[in-house]
Amino acid sequence: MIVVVGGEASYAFIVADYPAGSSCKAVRSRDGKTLKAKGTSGHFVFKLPKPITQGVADTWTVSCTDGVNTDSTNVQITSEGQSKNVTLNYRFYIFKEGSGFMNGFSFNAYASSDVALSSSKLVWASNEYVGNQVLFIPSVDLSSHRYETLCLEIVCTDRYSTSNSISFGVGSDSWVSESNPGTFDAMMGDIYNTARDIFELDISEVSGSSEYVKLASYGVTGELYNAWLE
Amino acid sequence: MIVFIDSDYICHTQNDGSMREISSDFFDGKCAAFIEGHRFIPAGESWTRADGVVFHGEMISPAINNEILHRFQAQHEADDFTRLSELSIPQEHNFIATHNYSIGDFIGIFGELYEVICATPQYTSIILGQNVAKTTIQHYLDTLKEDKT
Repeated sequence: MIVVVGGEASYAFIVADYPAGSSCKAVRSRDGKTLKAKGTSGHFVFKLPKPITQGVADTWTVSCTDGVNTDSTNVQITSEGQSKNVTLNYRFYIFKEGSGFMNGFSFNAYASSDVALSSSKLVWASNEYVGNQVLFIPSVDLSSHRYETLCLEIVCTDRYSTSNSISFGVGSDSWVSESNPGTFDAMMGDIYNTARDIFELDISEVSGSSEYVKLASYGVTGELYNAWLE
Repeated sequence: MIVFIDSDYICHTQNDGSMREISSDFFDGKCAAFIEGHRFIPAGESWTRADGVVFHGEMISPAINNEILHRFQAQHEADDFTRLSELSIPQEHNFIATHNYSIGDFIGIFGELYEVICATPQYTSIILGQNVAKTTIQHYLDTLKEDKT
């Protein structure tokens, strides 16, 4: 929170949180004016230059990098005295197209023989009546709320009937059986996409210190290209 | 289970007249506090989080810190177990199952039919009743309640 003291027109601020060890900057879109964060602590308050025309939106792009990863977001500033918070984060890949599993991840499936793994994709198949369950191991710690979104880039290539679909999400337990994925703390369901697409799941309020990313399939064959937390 | 969603997709157990009815087994056996701490986005619809990220249905996610929601649910189940214990149901009618059954399921065990009337949220369920139909076991429980009082 920014507390403004005094009666005159005040500065506007962007309060940025980003991964510690990274550099961070804010760039104004209309003229390229650039402000750089001092240090790499992971927290910086950008004091925006005056004047700011009341009611006219200035777009600032706040970005950070650790030399390998980058993240950025746009912020609209419309008046002096305004303060906006931004949180930047890097994608934490579980599976990445071209690299395969990353960051020590692998998988545990009910029907492992129906899962084909390459560096470019993970292909799974499931029977119409018994399904298949894919668990990405190890579990991830979501207690710090560092990650707020789980993203899977997938395509479904075939299914036995129009009632078949897949679901995915996070849960604190493993699959139970071929047709039972166990419990979910957050999930997306009723998915059958024949064009490659990114599905995003809100996990911002999931607090478990040991949460598994799970994919549950019933009568659907599909391909996973990317899975990450951000 | 039938629940109701408001205009912000927050779930409720009671409809105030402005809500929509949805059905999801995600909430089976869950207490009201647990349910009302979740958001349900139906298929074909979307919700925008405070940071601007748009999420598409069908999605179910906690709307508040789910550690709190799990505590509510655990307390609710502890209360339920207390109540069942007070009924003095004979031990031979009380089983721990190894699969995740839902309340109302009927299960054949050793050639006899059992009904699940209390289920934990994890893998095990407590199954009560022996070789009975649903109406019969409800009558059985009602009888026990009457005996208790």
